Amino acid sequence: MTAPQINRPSAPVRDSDGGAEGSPTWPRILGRLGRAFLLRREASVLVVLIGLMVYFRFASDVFLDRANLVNIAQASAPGAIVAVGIVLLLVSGEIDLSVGMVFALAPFLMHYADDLWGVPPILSILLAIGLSALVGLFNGLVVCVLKVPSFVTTLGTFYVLQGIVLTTSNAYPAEIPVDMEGRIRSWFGAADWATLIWCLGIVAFFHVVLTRTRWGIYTVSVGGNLLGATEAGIRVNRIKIGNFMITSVLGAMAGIMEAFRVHTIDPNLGGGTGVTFTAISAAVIGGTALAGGSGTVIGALLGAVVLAVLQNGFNLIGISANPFFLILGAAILISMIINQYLARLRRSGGT
Amino acid sequence: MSPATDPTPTSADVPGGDGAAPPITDPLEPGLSTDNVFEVQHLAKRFGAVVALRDVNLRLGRGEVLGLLGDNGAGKSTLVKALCGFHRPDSGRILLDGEPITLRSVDHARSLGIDIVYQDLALVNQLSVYHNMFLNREPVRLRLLRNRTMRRLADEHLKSLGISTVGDVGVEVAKLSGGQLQAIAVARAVFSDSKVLLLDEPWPPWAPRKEP
Repeated sequence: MTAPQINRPSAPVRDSDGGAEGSPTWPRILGRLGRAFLLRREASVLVVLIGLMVYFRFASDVFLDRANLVNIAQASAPGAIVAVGIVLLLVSGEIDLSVGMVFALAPFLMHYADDLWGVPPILSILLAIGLSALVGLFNGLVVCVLKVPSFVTTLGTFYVLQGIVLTTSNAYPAEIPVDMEGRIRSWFGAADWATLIWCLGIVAFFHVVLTRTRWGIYTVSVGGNLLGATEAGIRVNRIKIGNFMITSVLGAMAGIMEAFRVHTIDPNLGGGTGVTFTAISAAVIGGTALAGGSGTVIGALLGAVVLAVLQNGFNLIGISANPFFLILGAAILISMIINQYLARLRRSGGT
Repeated sequence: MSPATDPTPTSADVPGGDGAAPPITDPLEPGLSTDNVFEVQHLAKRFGAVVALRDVNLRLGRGEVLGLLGDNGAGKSTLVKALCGFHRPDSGRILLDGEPITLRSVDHARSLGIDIVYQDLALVNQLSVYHNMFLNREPVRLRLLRNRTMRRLADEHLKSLGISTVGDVGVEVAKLSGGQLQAIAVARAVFSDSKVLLLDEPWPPWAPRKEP
């Protein structure tokens, strides 16, 4: 026997925070938003970035000047573009150390195609990017088919590519092909905001790829549970090889843009391991796990901007470039510690 | 191997599992299998020098449940993986609805109506419950995942199977217990509406229901 039900206006129910359901209070809303924000992987690096920008704004009058913002944008974009590829690879459980040399090789390939082989300008750029993709294909095949660890494979590829760049260029810089001066050079890197616009476009595209497409889900699956992904029927080699190729293509694009920006094709472009380590640092600072399975493209962008802001800010306030590496190392360690803590928080549901 | 009420006589002969009981030997003959959904004839699989499966025969009728017993290392999981397209057998035949098939991959087997719950569950900790339930069969529109559809269908399906222990299907499976993971893996396979469902030791983390 059930008691008759009486419809009556229900009184607001108080939750444990003391707020009333249906009429949330601002502190509660802000608390929830704050907690949701902190649970995002990009949260810690965004907080660090804002803190650095506020600090350098007060430490230097010119920090937020347009010209300086252009400097920061141009310094961070190449690393961020490469970092996007590195994020995909790290998430899928691999790494690419050779991308820094693809960064240096691609502008030379463009130069050879245009100046030596007579290929039209745009096709030269595409050909350079296409050949660079083959480097990624090679890396991927060696890793997936021959089962050589990616660290070793890409270390070997790095030196092979370095040898190719230095041998074919005689270790001398080359000029940007004459028929690429003007619009092409401007659109692909020389204009003030060109590299940043390309970078933001690439980040937005691959953020969607990683979070909203099958490719992204499979990339996470391959890095998170390789056997499980294989058992689920995912073609794991295809995903890994594809991510190696994407990384090489992004390295090539960033290298060509950088060559256009600095107006020369330098065999030491990117400083060899410099771009690679900057990109890996940006990815890790941005919340990507080296163990695979999780990572964020937006976090990598923020990580690259943090590194550029640090270097730029140090220059402006007159600190020697030498402590930069000390700060960089500390930033990587601290961000990893914070990320571990936030990961535990996320696993426990934020409680 | 969906739930059955009619225990149709079944032949299973797995030489690797040489127990005391004599094997049920009902030699399979081509043409006998018109009522059988699934047949395996003389299946063999080696890994280098190791003979994992030798002359395995079994058949399965519609609505029939077939249990496979054997010691650790007897080749139970290998057999199941050979039947779902994960491993390619070295020799022997697999027949589905009387037609011989060659399983090229797990995807291919699934497209033919053969699905599996693996011993290790094949779940990805970093993905949500609903992404795991649709892993490798995600609905997409314009190449973008239809997350809302997956979330709704996963929720509905778990409820329809009476699995109430998994609360929010949006949480990462890393946050769930062993029994909950098992429930998701089984629900995922049942969800596929397959003709043949292979279960590789799916129950260990599940606590038996305690009667009052």
